[in-house]
Amino acid sequence: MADEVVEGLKSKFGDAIIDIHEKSPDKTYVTVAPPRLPDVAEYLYKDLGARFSIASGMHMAHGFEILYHFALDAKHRFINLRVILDSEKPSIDSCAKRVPATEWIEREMWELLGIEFRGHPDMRHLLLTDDWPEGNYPLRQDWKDWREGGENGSEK
Amino acid sequence: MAAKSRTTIIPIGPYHPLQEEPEFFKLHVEGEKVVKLEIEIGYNHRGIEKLAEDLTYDQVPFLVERICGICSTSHPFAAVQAIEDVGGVDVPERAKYIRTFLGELERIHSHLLWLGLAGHFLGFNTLWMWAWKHREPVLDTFELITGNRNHYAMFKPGGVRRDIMDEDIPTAMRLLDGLVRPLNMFIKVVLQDPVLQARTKNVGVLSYDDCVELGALGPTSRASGVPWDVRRDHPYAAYDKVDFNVITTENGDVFDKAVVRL
Amino acid sequence: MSLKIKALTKSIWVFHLAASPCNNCDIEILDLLTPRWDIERFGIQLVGSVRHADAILVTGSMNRKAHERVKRVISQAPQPCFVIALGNCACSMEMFGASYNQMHCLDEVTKVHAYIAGCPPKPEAMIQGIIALIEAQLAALKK
Repeated sequence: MADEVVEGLKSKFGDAIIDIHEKSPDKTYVTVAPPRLPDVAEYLYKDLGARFSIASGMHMAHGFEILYHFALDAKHRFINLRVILDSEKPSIDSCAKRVPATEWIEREMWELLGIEFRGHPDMRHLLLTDDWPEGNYPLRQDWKDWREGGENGSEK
Repeated sequence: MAAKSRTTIIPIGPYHPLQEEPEFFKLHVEGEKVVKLEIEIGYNHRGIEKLAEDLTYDQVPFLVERICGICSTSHPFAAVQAIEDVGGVDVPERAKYIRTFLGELERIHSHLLWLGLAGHFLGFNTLWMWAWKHREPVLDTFELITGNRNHYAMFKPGGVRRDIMDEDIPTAMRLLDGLVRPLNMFIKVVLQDPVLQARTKNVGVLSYDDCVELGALGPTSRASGVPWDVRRDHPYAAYDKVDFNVITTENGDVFDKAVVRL
Repeated sequence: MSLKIKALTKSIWVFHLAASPCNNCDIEILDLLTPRWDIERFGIQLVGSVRHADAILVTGSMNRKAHERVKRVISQAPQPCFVIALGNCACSMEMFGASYNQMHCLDEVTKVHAYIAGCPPKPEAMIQGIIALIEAQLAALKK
């Protein structure tokens, strides 16, 4: 079901849209080239009036995958922007200045997954303690808990 | 004397008599006005995402139920729907209605809880006691149907864990019918009480624009006049088959947040 | 000490300490104060500061961030003071024990006088737990 939202994205961003997957009539997954993500997000949020719902990050076999979920409430549908980042040094431009609601979730993805958000206005620990060992990202697949010999020791 | 506009920092939390759960607010105030707020959360972070990676699909709803004790339908509700979506599972109609019923029942209990605590925080303990007294029948209904007052563990991928027994329905109806009068009374009390109005009108205003910018949802956004309601806009379970109004108010202050909840 | 404990069992003032709970036990504690259970008739009252407390009700499984704060709050309590672990999380960390953000169970950090299990414990169970604590303390005094 190619409708005006998807067509609009395609015509406006052209090459930046890598893939469009219609999961169900109300959910569309749009894979975006990482450098253009803030532009696409801003277009959805400012021009189409979409509500930023949440973002979810995952460490997959092929790298880090971030989904930015936008809800178009009036049209009863969800647009999910998918970016795939490289496993070695995941890094992407932050959306937080253009879509303010993304600020906290980007902080959380940074501390739990170790994805660097370039240009984030306030990058501090959100959930974990401030003395959490650096470079220790618990939601990564290869991460080890202290019980398994990791570095976030329990001696306190 | 220092300069005229002097900022004082008031720390609230992490353990503060008014807070039910630990979080830390740093208020920068100038006189009576809060100019800046720093929030430090994470006192409740238990790494549920990581724990869920090790569990089977059947176990996850019970884990995510423990994210929040007051809204113990919302998270398993979302989790089972995600699992069903992945697995392509069809849910029986009756199970959908039971889920919707539980979700709405929880809304009643949660809104009464909010109202009571709002009264408690304002020092209006009578409202607290009354609201929580009339919240008890809702919890009784939960106990009758699911077996526990909170953390019902009713959601299973593909359906619900227990059916509603025919012989339980009259009792549940009686309990819930008994709620109508007290709820009407609350509407009158809250809307007309001069103390509540004085304390909550024009306090903590969240404007329409801020609400959209921050992506606030639920009663919070509806109190600011943003007519977003996930139950109507993206219907799940049996919400597309039941009729309800989306209530919005315009001011976005604490008073309006009480109004939309009632 | 024995006189103090005897006096303590008469009307217990409790302080509610939430250490990363899901909030359910906390709400049930507040439920205890509301008209259906109304534990104030036994002289049990919730106080705002730990310095006034005769007993501390700890809920939740105490994560890394809450850990230091909980220890500090408990150390500020006037002695003797009972520590009651309320709910499965406080008793044994329940399903969160394996998490990366959990380190120690409550009873590894401080002496716990009573455990009230349940997720969440029903208000009746909480009242019974407190009564059992009082009876145990009085029985220990008689010996």
